[in-house]
Amino acid sequence: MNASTLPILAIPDDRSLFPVLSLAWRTDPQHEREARELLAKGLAQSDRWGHPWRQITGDSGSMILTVAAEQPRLERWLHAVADESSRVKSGLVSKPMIAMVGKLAGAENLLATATDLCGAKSSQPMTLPSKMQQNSVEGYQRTLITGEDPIHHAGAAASFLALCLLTGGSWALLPKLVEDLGNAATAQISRNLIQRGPAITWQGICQGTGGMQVFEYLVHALPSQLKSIGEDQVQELKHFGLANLSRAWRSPTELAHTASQYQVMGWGPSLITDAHSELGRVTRDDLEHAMDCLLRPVLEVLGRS
Amino acid sequence: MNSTSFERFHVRSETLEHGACAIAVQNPKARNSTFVLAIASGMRHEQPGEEGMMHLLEHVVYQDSVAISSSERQTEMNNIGAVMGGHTHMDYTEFYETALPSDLPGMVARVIEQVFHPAFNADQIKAQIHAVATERAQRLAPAPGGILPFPHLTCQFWDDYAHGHDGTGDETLFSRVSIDRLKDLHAKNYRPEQAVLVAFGPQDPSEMLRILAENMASLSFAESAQKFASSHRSQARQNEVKHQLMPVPGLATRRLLAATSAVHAQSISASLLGDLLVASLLSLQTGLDSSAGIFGPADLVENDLFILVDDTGLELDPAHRLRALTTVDDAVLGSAAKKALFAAEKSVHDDERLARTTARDMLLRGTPEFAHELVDQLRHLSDQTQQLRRLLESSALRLAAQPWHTISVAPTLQEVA
Repeated sequence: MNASTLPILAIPDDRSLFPVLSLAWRTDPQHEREARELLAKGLAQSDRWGHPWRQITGDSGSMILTVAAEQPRLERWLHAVADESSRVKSGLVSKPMIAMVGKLAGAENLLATATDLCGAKSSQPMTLPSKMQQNSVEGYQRTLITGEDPIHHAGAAASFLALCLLTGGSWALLPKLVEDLGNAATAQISRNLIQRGPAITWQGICQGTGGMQVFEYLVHALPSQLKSIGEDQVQELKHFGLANLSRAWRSPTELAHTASQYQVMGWGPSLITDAHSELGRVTRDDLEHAMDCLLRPVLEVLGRS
Repeated sequence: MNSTSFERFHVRSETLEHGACAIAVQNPKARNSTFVLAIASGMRHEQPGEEGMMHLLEHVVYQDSVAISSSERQTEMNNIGAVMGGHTHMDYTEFYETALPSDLPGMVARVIEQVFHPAFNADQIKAQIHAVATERAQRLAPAPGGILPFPHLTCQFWDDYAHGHDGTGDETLFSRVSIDRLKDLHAKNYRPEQAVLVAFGPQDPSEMLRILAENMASLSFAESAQKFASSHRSQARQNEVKHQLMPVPGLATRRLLAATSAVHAQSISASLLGDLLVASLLSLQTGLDSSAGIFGPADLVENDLFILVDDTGLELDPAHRLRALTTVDDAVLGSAAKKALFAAEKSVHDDERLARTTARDMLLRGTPEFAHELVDQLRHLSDQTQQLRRLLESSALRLAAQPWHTISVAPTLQEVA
């Protein structure tokens, strides 16, 4: 089997005596709580005396279960997971994606068991139509625009850096630009799963009814702001991005969880395993293209595509 | 033969100008660097009237300093993607930053300057009193009745001021704090000769030590007129055993909080290993949580508490629960040993925690190896069933025979009726 198509992300790490497995499922927001409770209940029954460490998290359409235990126990546990998750209605969750962090020598059986359990990597990008929702509460209008995550068109690293440019570091463009607008306006962008595919959500809030003006301004101002950024600032941006991605390596459990999260959210797990070279390859053109892709849902709902 | 967990690292240390201890811990595979500055003063060093001021001082360190404003510092950190933290413990206070290895010099300069030269801005101090009080309120709010082992059981257990006062800090600080008082407290407790600096990362340890030495040498320190308080540890005095009932309106189930003396953790002993096993076994049971230390195992070297939180609603005497542990089967005992091992290992397999633990152990125990030795011993024990059982029996019976303080958080009598 070609390693790049393996559904398991195996990361060698010798810091802990216990291998760490992280399993991630895609679900739907309306089923997230139900699926999480069912899995937790089933797993509690299947492993009466617990593991040395276990964590269940989930939001934005995903559920992540991370476990540290000695290898034979993990193998037994994986079989229990296979049983329990097969009892969870298939409509509730996808097949899991798996990340493993630990000493890989001698872990062949564990990896084989994990491979049997997981789903194949989704390689076909899903077409997600851009949508807008608006509502007003106590004189403030909230506008939500959802659409496709740019990762399939712009690549994982450029998409990540474009998002950093919008929201991270002291240069964060979004709050600065929106502050210029006045009118108590705010704008945010986040990544999530919609219909179990990678998506982005823009949120604009302003006083009165000027919700669309926020986005009109952003589609006009963001590309020109990006063009005015010098090469030094692009390097600073990459440094900032690298620091954020490298933080996952602080501990084996954090690494397994984050790798699993990048897998299930479709953000490109190679950003975690190989951040330095992934970010290093991003050119200025890549960054501009990624920004255009991030703005595409906004342009589409504005009728400018 | 396997190397010990400590031998996997390249470690160097030296005493710097002004007396601070510097330690460099290298892991060539690390992708981040962490810098920790810890001082040997915590909540137990507060004097009457100073309750909560060490915690406030920790917050003030993150405000303006002599060389830089807090917003400028925040911008510097944002730009490089650094993260920071600070905690006030019973016997020490720690400050740390984590970022890419190339940013270590900036981290070291930033943290050293802010820790030793805060600006004591009056408006910021007021804002931080609010922050400290809010932090306390938010920590207590989710607990039934707002009662937690720390500070409620701690204050009940100890009769002397150093151990028995509440150092979390609340809004009474407004009436007690002045800039001069905070400056005095800082001058007395934030001394370079009572500090340990730890740099962790993939860099050569000599290079990391050079960065630490350069930054400490560039600072000036006034001689402290006030001498460090005599050891608060010798003042420890236990209260007579108390069993408090705290009726809480609207509570769904009863919670029993219980505390007894924890074994001294200056060094690793059979009693300490056994107590870790007992706490782990108790925590495996549904509705129970236990810790061999008020802030986690080995965070204090002495005068610590062994804690049991019982949410089963049964309110069994802790002594009965402990005696019952001696009958567990080998499989459960093995699971508890693995859980105890993982809990200990977390303080050395997490790079940031490793740097913090190294600073703690150097401050409190005079050796950076304690946490690693604990992991090695638990690792060795984890498959030795007979030895585990001996440790379990000895610790469980010893703890069962000790006096326990309890707080029973319960629904009001009317609600029970």
